[in-house]
Amino acid sequence: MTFIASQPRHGLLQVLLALGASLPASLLAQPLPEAPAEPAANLEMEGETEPAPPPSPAASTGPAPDDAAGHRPATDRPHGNPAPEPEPPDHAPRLWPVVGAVVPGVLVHGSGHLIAGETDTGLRLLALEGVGLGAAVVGVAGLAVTGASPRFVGPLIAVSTTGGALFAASALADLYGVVAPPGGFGRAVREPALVLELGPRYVDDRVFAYDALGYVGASAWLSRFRVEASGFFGLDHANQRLRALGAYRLLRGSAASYLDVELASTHHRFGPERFSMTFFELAVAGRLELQVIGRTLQGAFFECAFGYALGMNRQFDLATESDEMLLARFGMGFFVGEGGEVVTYYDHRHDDYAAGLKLPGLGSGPLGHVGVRASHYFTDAWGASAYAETGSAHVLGVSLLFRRRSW
Amino acid sequence: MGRAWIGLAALSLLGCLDVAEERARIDSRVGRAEIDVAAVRVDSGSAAVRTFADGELRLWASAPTLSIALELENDAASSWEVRIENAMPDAELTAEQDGEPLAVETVERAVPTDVTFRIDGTAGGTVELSITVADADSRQPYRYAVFADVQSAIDDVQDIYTRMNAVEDLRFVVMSGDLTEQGEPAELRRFQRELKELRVPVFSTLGNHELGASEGNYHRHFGRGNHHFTFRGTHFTLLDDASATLAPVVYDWLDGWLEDGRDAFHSVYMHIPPLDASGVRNGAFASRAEANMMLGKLARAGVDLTVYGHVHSFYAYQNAGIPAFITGGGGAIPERLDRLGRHFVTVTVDPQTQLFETAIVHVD
Repeated sequence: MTFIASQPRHGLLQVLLALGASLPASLLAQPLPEAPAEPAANLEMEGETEPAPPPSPAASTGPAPDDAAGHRPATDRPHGNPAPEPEPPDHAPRLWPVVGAVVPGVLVHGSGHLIAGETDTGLRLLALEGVGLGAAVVGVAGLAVTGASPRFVGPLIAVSTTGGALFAASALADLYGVVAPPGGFGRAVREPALVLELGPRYVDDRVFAYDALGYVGASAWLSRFRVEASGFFGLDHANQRLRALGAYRLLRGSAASYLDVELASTHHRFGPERFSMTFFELAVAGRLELQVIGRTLQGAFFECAFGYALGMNRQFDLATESDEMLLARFGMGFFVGEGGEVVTYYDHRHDDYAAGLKLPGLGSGPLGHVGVRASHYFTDAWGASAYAETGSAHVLGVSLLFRRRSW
Repeated sequence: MGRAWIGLAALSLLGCLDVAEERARIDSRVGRAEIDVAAVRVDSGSAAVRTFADGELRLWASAPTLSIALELENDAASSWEVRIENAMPDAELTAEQDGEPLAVETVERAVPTDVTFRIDGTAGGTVELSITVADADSRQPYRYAVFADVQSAIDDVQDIYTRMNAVEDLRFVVMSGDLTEQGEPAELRRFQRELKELRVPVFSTLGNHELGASEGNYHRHFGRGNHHFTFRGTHFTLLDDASATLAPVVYDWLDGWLEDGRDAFHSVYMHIPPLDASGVRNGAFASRAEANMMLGKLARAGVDLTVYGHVHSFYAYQNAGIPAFITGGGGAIPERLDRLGRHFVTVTVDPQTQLFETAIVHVD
């Protein structure tokens, strides 16, 4: 497997800086800089081994028609002419599109792109907002009309949470598209052979005594198969959460667009409290590169997963009773450097450390938790990650990452 | 780095962990009031003080029996009118000061659950008041009813009360929350007015729909959300889980109540089921871990029965081995296709054997 060397490589620090600190003085809305020409070649289909040609200066600065997929042609430099000295690309975001992506963008998604002159992308994001809002309303209205009958509740929760996720993702994508440099902040790495993760976790839970845990995880790819094993181990409390997962990649487009089917089992033991929860899970999970919406969204992705978990709650020496869960997870993120990423997500799980959101007012209980996770590889093999989640508890974690790209 | 902290702060605000603690703090103040010349304290916070003025005390009871301490200055009134709303229909008041009984007269019993007494001859010092019923210490079987989730169906709630009034020997009703749609004071007062037609009191906790306006409205009208009382040797614990969790301090209170009821029939009521009968729906605690932890406490303390609302249907199941009922048939938008409609459940309990029997009573 080969990785394209012409992709921009940006560190996490650069991403954060670009998100606000380096706004230029220009107050005029101008078209965004062109995206580098590579996406069509960058869709690494299975068996591809050759790197894509580097983007030409013309492709990075001059007007060129989009191809059918919305990508710039890779080469439109006249043959035989020496390439002109490339101008330094204007990677810095402009002020008004960024401001517009926040206000009125928080309500009218796509505003940032519309201000930037990326009308098609802006309108697509606006449409996505409408679809999301509509789905959320339909889902919630369905729950009300059916009285949350168990016969309908699964699909209706799926529709409403999907709607909410699309609504949020369209706003975040608008912001990303006007902040990110052409090509994005990084790129996906396809199915690394091995990823190891190790680090501490801190849990702020007002009900349980534990707060410090250690985490270890391993993920391995073999062809289209992936296996994962992970565990949380209480450092100040007899609490362990173990998880094993096997997955098969049903569909794969680019390195960042795929569809997996997952089988997993999770066992969570609360020693002092004398109970455990065990679930067996079946889910379908996928990720889609957002450049299908517009060129400015290259390097960003939307991910979602749906599934069902059947399991049991065991009170030691007392009772074992069956339980079930709806699994749903949505994330919107972007790549950082070579295989690192930043993802904000919603997870409908209620059985993990973060569990469901506690909210003021009458809405506590049904919703899962939200979080943000960032990872970055400093070398080809070594990296670090951090994440924060909030639900019934706040969870913070940092990890050291090690990967091997191939066996 | 600054932006990272801002992000974490925003995340923390989104998921507020202390959603029930303020209500637990309010709980600890229920049943207490002070004026210049007097102070009142209801034991265990078992009544909300609705009015307290020199010579006048008005309470909303949340237990069949009450113990009240009235601390009087020397210049306080020597005659007091004590009005108890949501009282047992046969409630009587006794009063004593310095070990001597005081003269008590029943002034008015406008409806069975609303009684006013007058106490004469009080002086500076502590006056001990007891609201009792003759069978409070009996060990004979008795019957009570449970229901929940009236919400916006208050216009039709009399259908339920009429049916309850027809149940023979009903001593009181326990309600597992969602009395109103939003918890507005006007809604809460309306609920109290409608209760005047019921011949027995309703002892309740709040539901998530009482949190639509501002926290504390419920407590001002009905008293504590987390409370415990006994009747005929059986124990009742009502918990405020309207935020799909319990405040941490409530677990400390719960430990004490569970210990008190360990060797007796003990039933526990809350609005949101810790674990929904339908796990996919999760009309339940926000955290499955907390739900299992709490249920383990109840089971290990020998709790005999748990009753919930929140889900607008009827379910009978077990949680941590404890018989559990969801009875949300008070009239709120019903769960479709369950063919149940409005309903309530009666429980007949034998305090001596700790055996109980339930029946579902259909209203529609």
